[in-house]
Amino acid sequence: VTSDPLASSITADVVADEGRLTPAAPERARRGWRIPMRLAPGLSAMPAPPSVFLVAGLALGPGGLNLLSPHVLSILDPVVSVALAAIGSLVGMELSLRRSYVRALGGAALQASVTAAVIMLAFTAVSPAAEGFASAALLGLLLGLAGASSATPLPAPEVADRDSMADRIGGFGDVVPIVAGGAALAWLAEASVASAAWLLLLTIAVFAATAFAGWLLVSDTASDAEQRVFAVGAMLLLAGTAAFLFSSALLAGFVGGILWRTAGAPGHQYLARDIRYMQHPLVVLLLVTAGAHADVPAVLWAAIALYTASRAIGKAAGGFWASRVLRPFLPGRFGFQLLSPGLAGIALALNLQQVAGTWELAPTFFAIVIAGSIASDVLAVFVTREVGA
Amino acid sequence: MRRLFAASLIIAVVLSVRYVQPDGAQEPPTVALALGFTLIVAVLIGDILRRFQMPRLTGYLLFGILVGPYVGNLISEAMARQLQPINGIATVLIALIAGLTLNIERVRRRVHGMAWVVGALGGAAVGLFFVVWLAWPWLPISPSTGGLVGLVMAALFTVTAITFSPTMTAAVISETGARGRVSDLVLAIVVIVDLIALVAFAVLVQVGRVVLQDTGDDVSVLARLAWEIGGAIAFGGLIGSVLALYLRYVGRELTLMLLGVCALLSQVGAAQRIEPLLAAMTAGLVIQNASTPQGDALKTALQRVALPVLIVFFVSTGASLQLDVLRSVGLLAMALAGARLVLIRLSLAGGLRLAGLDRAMGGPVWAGLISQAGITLGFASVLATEFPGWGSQMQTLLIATIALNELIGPALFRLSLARIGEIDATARLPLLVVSNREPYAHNYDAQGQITVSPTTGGVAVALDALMRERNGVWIAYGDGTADKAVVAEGDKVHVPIDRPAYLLRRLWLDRREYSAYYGGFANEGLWPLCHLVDVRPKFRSEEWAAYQRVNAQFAAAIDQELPTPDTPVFIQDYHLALAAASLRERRPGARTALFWHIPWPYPDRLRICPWRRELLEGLLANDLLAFQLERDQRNFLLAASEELGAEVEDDGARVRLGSRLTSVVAVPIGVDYDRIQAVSRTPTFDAERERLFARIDLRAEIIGVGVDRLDYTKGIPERLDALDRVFTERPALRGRLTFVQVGVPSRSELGSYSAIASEISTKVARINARHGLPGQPPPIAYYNAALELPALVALYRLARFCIVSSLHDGMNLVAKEFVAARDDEEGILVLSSLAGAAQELRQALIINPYDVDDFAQAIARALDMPQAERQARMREMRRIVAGRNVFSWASDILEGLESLWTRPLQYAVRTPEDAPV
Repeated sequence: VTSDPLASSITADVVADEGRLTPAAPERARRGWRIPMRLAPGLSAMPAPPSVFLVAGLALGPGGLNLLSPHVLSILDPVVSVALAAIGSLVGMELSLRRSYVRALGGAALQASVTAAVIMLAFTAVSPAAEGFASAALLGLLLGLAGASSATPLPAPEVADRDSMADRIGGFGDVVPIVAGGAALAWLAEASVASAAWLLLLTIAVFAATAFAGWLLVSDTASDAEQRVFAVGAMLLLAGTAAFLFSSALLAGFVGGILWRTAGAPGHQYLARDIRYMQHPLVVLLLVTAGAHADVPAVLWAAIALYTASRAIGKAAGGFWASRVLRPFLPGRFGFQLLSPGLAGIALALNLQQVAGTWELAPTFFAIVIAGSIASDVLAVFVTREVGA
Repeated sequence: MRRLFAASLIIAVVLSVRYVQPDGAQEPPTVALALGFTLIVAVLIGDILRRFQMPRLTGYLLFGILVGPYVGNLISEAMARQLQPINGIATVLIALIAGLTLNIERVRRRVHGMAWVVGALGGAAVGLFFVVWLAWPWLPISPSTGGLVGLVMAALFTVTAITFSPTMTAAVISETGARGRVSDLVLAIVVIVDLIALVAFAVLVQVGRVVLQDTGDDVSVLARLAWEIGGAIAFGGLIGSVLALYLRYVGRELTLMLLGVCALLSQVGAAQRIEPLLAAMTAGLVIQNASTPQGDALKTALQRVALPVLIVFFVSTGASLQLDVLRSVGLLAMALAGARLVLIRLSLAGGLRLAGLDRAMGGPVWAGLISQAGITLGFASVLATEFPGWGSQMQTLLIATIALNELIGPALFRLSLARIGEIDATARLPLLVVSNREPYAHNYDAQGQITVSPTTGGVAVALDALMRERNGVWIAYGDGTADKAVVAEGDKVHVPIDRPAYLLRRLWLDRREYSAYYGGFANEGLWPLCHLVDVRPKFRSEEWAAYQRVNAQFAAAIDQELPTPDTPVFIQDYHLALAAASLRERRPGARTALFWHIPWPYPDRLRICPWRRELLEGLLANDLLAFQLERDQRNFLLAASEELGAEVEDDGARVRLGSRLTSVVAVPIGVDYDRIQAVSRTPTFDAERERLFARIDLRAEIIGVGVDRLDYTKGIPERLDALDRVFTERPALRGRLTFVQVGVPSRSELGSYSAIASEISTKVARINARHGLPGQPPPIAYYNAALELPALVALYRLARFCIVSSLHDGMNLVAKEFVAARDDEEGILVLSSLAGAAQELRQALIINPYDVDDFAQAIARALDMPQAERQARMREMRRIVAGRNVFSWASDILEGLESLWTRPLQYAVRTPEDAPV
């Protein structure tokens, strides 16, 4: 425990929140970051990075062994929607108005926005004028949002520290792509900004009503089995409403997560418990399905390289600025630890691929995100090793 | 109200989303939304039906019909097709659950009766075949087909029509929490019969292919058949073994693994033409019976994932019912369903008679055999696919029959279970348990606050578990310092405090009277009389008089609490040998059973007691008298015959004294296996273990454990002598081995008990002084207080070995608790041959506590035993303990008591030849 006043306040928050003491961030920063990654806030550590499942999906999908044929993938669509909603809800349930959380959210938003901006600028700058500025900017914006998400670093095994500022910043980086991605989907669906905003508001209201009904039901029963069924039912309803409205299932889950956290115990605890229980199978399924859906033609390799490079630069810059703002909790080269792609980015791409409708650049966007995520993961291994050394 | 509001909100959301949808959007995907809506509303409707004493399953099915294509069309035919993979997985899940529910160890005890019943149901199948054959010209299948082809068609129809529904049965039993002979029997019957039907169906389909489609020669048919059945069994066995290994060595991501396995069984079965249901059932059977702990773990995982999948399955089954078909062939289907039910009822009556089982069980068992669902639907679907044309016609008729059976079956089965009192929540037969010691005591602590502490003895824990299940009233002496302060009117209090399940009626006894009855006659007279240890029984007439008076007080309390004459009264132990006789003076028709937990002495030793005849007469006032072991039962019957001239019937299970007939049986007690299993999975378990480390010095590399009341029958000094010998012979163990002796103070006001407590303390101090190393863990860690169950389970799980060294013991539940707690299949039980548990747990290291060399060698062997042998022994013991838990013990006694008014008891007790050498 450090004597730094800010660190002490964070420690106090953690104690109040989790009932346990965690070491302060500077101590952890000294320890280095030679570690695998965590997928998203609240998600348990996985033995393999997301790219392994993406590659597995590529191998099993229609472009590979065709075990996951288009027919099977269409059957899995509802489950994928549930997975997206589950990821969104876990991010939503992590949010809090505590001081340390708000600071982390600010840092996360900063680094995610810088990353998104760098990617967007890169794609807008290099796109041929013939293709149209708006189209390139939209592709760049969505790629930027997908790239803004990062897998948060996993604490070293001897440190039971999952609530440090670094973790939170990595995790809250998902908030930007989820919220902005939801807005972008509404924009794609509607002709004008005003009607898109109205649609977004209505869908958020529907999501909130659905989530509240789920919370009421879960809170009203003492039976574990019923709580589980209601939790699954609530996730299905959120995902189903989003799919029905061609809206973002991630956003649906996110709204649900925030509402549940705000509505409080015991419903929140039951829902969190049951969604966490489901999340790992769903995450694996989502990644494999995302890999299977991807079709990466050679013509996109340059774009993928651009995405990977601009994302790395954006992360480095975003991490640097975040570390300046939140000194001393973050190491100066914190951005390099955020190179691994986050699940929310892949989920956003899959979500958009599901509901983008007539947007002609959807397959391009999806292929760049999936292949770029695999490339970013490979890059992260090397960079992390260098930084650690 | 909340539920109503939530349901309204959901309906409003579902109705409103179509207005929020973006303009010009394409056809939206609806599966997830419909599934979510279905899942939640089905649960709510099931809950409403539950309030009307109907099974929830019926609610799910009804809801399926309501939202199906024929009524609400919320689940369209296209959606129903999209749900097919989920249904495929659900059907395999059902078969897996069915396999996991069949514990051969439990069934083995009833195998004789079951064989007759299953055989008789074979008769029903034959009868149904003839009915179908006679009615063939009128059935809308293929009326003009006759001869061999017609016979094969009729046989296929019959085999499909006779099947049951393990899922429905298991679901009704699980949903209602039913426990008892009927639910056990029905579950076993449906699984076994469906297993046989699966094989018969596969054979007939092959025969059908040859006869009807003229495909292949005899050899290829046999090969296909062998592949379909043998392949399914082999594949299921392989999957079961792999899953068991995965559970044992990995044990993570069970949900993913489980769903993956179900998808694999479903898809590979369909692709490779092996019977997926048979494969899944085999997998479940293998896991449950070859690897019980893994079976338990899998059942826990199933509990988490199965319900949503099964709800979707039942709703989708309801939605897939072709109501138009039901209209067109409804009458015919009703006639066929009626013929099936009549034939099953008749054959069941014959089967039960031949099996010597209670014929009154016929109705409830029959009700359990009405339901049809997944397996029958699966067969019908195979027929339609394999034999297009008449197969589809057959499917239509079968679906109509299934629709009728599945709508009435679950409801009737539930009603029957409630009527015979196997459903805890609705049974109107409160159980009366009577014991000297209360299950929960309220005491004032040092600050004057009232604290409540549960009694820790194995029997008390077992009976408490029983009462949590059965409800009712427990009458016991209130000896807590704050007991009087917390009772309400009638000296009663709801217990357990955290989740009240039953009433505790406290009886107030004069301290001196209690001391003479309990400390005197019961524990200085009867206890040493019944235990062959070196303590002389003391019998004093004033204590005998107190014993009689207290028993009469207990009888008066029972009389007050007994709501109806046929309420079962379950009296506990040697403290209350005269309670039934005294009660019978007030309530001649009361139905009482007494369980004598401690050994019963042989006649020569019994003669030490001056009031042995009164005791025998008092015990024979019960309708049912149960002992732990056959040895005790035989000793009692000998004594009744010699002392009272009572007439022992030829079957050796009943004794007549005057006009009274008492059944005398041996029913070994078990532990609450599931609860002990569950303790280690509670979120607070790790914290409990940490607290244990703070209380007891557990630093040593090797931990041994002994948990006993401080009683001279437990052989604790002998145990310490053996440990002393081990430390002497193997000094390298000093500092590496700590033996934790938990000694719960007991009856310390009696001289013999305080002497043994003092002897134990002295021996522990001496051993620690002799073998202890400075700064190192002590050889013996002596914990002189009771531990609550979570701490006890944590301690058991830490221990390399556990010692039970009783010099004479009725059963000893510590031995069984230790085994139940070890779901890691580690740990060795060193068990006295003089404890009743040794009759069952033969894979323990059996020792003679009087032979210190033998004892020390056994401990050394436990320390050196290879892991493979340790695990093999523990696996076998766990299978036995799991198969004989406290609920089957209690249900055997209580149902036995109730069955006395119909037939003699049919207990499967160990024969003398089975006894260990």
